[in-house]
Amino acid sequence: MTAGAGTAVAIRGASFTIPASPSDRPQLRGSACPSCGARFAGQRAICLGCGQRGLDECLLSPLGVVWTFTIVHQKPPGAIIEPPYVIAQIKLQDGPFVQSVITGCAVADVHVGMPVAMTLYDTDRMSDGNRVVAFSFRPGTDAT
Amino acid sequence: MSTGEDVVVLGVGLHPFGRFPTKSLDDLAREAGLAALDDAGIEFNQVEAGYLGRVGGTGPPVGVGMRIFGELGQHGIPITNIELACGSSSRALMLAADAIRAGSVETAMVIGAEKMERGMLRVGGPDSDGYASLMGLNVMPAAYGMMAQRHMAEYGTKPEHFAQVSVKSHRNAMHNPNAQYRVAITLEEVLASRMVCEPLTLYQCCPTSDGASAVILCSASFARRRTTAPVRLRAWAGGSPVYSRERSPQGEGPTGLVARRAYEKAGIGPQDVHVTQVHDAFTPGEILTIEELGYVKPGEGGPFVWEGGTEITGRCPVNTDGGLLSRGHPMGATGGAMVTEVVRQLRSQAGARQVVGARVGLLQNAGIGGVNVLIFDA
Repeated sequence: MTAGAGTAVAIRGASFTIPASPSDRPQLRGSACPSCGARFAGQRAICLGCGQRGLDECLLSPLGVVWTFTIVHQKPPGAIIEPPYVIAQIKLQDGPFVQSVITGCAVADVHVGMPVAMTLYDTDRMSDGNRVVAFSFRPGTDAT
Repeated sequence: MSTGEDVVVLGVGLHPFGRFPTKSLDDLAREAGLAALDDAGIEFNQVEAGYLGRVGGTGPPVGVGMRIFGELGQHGIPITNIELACGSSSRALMLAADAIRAGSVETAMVIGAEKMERGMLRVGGPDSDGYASLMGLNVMPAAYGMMAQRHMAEYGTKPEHFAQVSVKSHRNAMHNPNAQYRVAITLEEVLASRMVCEPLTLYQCCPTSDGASAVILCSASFARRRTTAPVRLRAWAGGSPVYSRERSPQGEGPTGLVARRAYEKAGIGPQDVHVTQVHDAFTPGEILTIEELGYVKPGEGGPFVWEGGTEITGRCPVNTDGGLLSRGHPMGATGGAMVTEVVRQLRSQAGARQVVGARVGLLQNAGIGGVNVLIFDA
């Protein structure tokens, strides 16, 4: 993405890193179980795999594959993304499933099993003088 | 099954599903309730507990059950509001059945009612400028579109298979005076309707609806004094998502697991069921569910529907009243409407949509991960 005015901040409702250098990978924040090793997207207090209380914060793999997807042709009220666009469930390399839009390719090219990598998505919105940034996944096996 | 009173469905009633801008939620619920009382042949003052299934569209959100049952009469019974999204009234029925089986009450009434706005259902809550809303992820049909795409990739199911579900549902609804859509549509029309979430076109999405359902349950001993041909609620089971590291959480919950629990309680298997109602909010609902219910093997659902297996005259008749797709889907009322159709089938009162010789019926009703499976016999 291009560097614009102001600092980039993560959009409300999602938690991920925004690297200072464009060559570094953005990563989703997640939770890791110190007992069984299961990982989860977002913050969790208790492991769904083994019941362990108290999970560690972690950064999730920015790489994954498309588990399933659909091409959306109707714009939901309030969305900033234009149809047709792809919503996918992505299985990350380190385990968890996340739901995201897929960008960076023709919608017809998306398929189950496609390798994807996390990328930042500029919302063109500002908040307190900061650029609001979301994320998406795009085809690829790297995340730069 | 565990010991306790057998539970009988004594009466069922509906307010037709559709759009009724001049009627209030209370009007819809009252009419359904009176129809069920008439069908049962009892008065409201014989009802010992009331349960309301509702999600909450327009109108006051709190204490609605008190108001709705209070319109039918006020004789001091306990009233409970139940919310399990689109599975609200079938879950309400299960709790009512638990109370009867336990001997707490002899009779109970379940009302399901909803008035809904037009257009695509909004999911995800009020965070209108958060990540999911801005990035267009709060799209209800997308969940079913993704289920369909996964099924297509795993098993080779075709878009035409999904579309055929809607053709069959619309044809069945033509014979249902309470259905929202009573017109036949062709496969070509379904496939050519506006694309919503691939592979799902508009005519593969259920409508939003106004409507109400009511069901009266009672103990077998209470029923014996009133009917010689009772329809029994033989077994019921519910469930919620099961965490798996390997598979993504599927949209409408663990139907296979819940169905196995219900079969075990009923002492029957899938081959013993004669008529079925499933949660077809979108067409994949039928194809995936008949696999999870064990009617066909995983991956065989699409061809089975395509070849007519779920038609009224097929091996496993499904959604004989048109299902959510054509009967309509006023969320809180849907479970009770499924019960109503199963009961009418088991009483041989279903007219042109009757499944000949139906004596065992099953329904599967789901809401955002919560699943209910109920088995009836006559």
